[in-house]
Amino acid sequence: MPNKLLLIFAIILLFTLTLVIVSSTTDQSNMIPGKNHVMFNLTEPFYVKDLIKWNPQISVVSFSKENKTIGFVNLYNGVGDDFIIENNQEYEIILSKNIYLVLPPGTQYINLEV
Amino acid sequence: MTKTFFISLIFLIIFISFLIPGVSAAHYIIGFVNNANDGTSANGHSIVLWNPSKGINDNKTDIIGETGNSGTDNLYMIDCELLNNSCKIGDTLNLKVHNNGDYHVSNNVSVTITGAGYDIAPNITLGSLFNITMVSVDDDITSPPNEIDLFTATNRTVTCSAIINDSEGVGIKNATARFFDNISSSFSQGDNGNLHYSNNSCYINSSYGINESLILCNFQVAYYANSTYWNCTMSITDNNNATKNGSSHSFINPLLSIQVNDTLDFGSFNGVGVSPEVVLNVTNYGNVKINLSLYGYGMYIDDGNAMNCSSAKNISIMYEKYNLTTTNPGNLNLGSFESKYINLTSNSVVNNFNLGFRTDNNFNIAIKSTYWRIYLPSGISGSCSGNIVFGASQLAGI
Repeated sequence: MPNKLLLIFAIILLFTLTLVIVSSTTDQSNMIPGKNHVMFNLTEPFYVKDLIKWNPQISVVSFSKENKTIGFVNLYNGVGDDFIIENNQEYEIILSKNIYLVLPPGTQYINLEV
Repeated sequence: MTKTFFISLIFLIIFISFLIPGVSAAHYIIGFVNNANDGTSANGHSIVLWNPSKGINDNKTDIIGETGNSGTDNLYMIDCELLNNSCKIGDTLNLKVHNNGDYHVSNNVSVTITGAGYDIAPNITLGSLFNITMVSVDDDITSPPNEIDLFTATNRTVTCSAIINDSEGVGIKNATARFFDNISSSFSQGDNGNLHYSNNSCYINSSYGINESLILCNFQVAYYANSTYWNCTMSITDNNNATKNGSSHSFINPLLSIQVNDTLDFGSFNGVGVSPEVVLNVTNYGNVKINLSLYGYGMYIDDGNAMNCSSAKNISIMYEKYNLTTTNPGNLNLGSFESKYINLTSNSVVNNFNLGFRTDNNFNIAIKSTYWRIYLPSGISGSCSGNIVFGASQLAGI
């Protein structure tokens, strides 16, 4: 009986892990209205203001750093810190509609959240 | 079996939650703060956001303008998800500019959290501080203005007044004032009848006008307060604890006033001769150093007599004499009488007396003695009486 339980547990765990990994690393996926969490694979860093210029459907881009949120809002020609988008940093992008992000050539992103 | 399965499932969910990468989340509240009506810039002031249902202790702040999160003049930007009780769709949050030391604050505004990427709060206008206008200080005789005439040997009410224009309607909480000699004293000095007066509870008429208050600060100013320019500085505090000062000047006029307590009674004596010395004390009840003017008459001014007598003959003015500095007790012959005393005259003469004014808050020791004798010539009999007129003068004496 304990072996049977252990087997069921292992199967569920394997299934769930597969699901999580597949769903959280959807490369270059369509981004949905609302909150999206992405990481970029950049050849050259760029300013968030440029990202919004290329993608005017973006409402807000933000990231967390040392228990603070640094953000840039697509309002009044841009409100907030015009920070640099970098590799290995998770960003929250809030969109007003479905888009595929327009990025500089060679730049890729990973949509981390379903 | 079922129980074991669910326990395993819960364990699994906890395990999975550790596998999912840490997710940042933000929901910005953005708003515009207009400069104050008095011209004070909103930039650099601090704005606070809180959820009233959770209490103001759970709050987030931002600096308005370029040095804050927004990086833009007059704008602020606060992530409400950083509240300890993170904001959720439908929450109503409050915002206000709070006091960062200059007492410019604002009224609260509210914003409701939506599902959009951010929310824009209603515009806020930075509050203005109240203005102190029409500060004046005077006695109840307002013409000529800014001149104060003290009363002899008592106090005079001096009123320092101002009108407060409180356009934000914050309300005035407290008003104090200091009235002080602008040359020899200062705002912070302790009280002293010559130099400094305090009123820590001025009258506030909050219904004086629309958003206007009348402030009245009374001082009971003593007769010996220095004759010079005086400053009244009012310190007004509103209900936000903002404090402003306003001041005005006025001149306390010289008060020349003396009191001579006693009648001059040479007593009774027989025959020709010089009377014993009689002492008369003169007290300064003014606020300036004085000399003494003196003249005398028997029955009528300028009648040439010191005393009018019931006999046919009167005592001539030249026979009544004084010394304003030195006593000469005992019997005197006529020669000493002539040399040690000065003739009283029918016309007023100003004599050096140098009697200072009161400088002690508890006692008036501005008192000096004068010494008098009279010569009784032959032919005088019966009773005699006369008048000596004492006057205080700032003129140079002889």
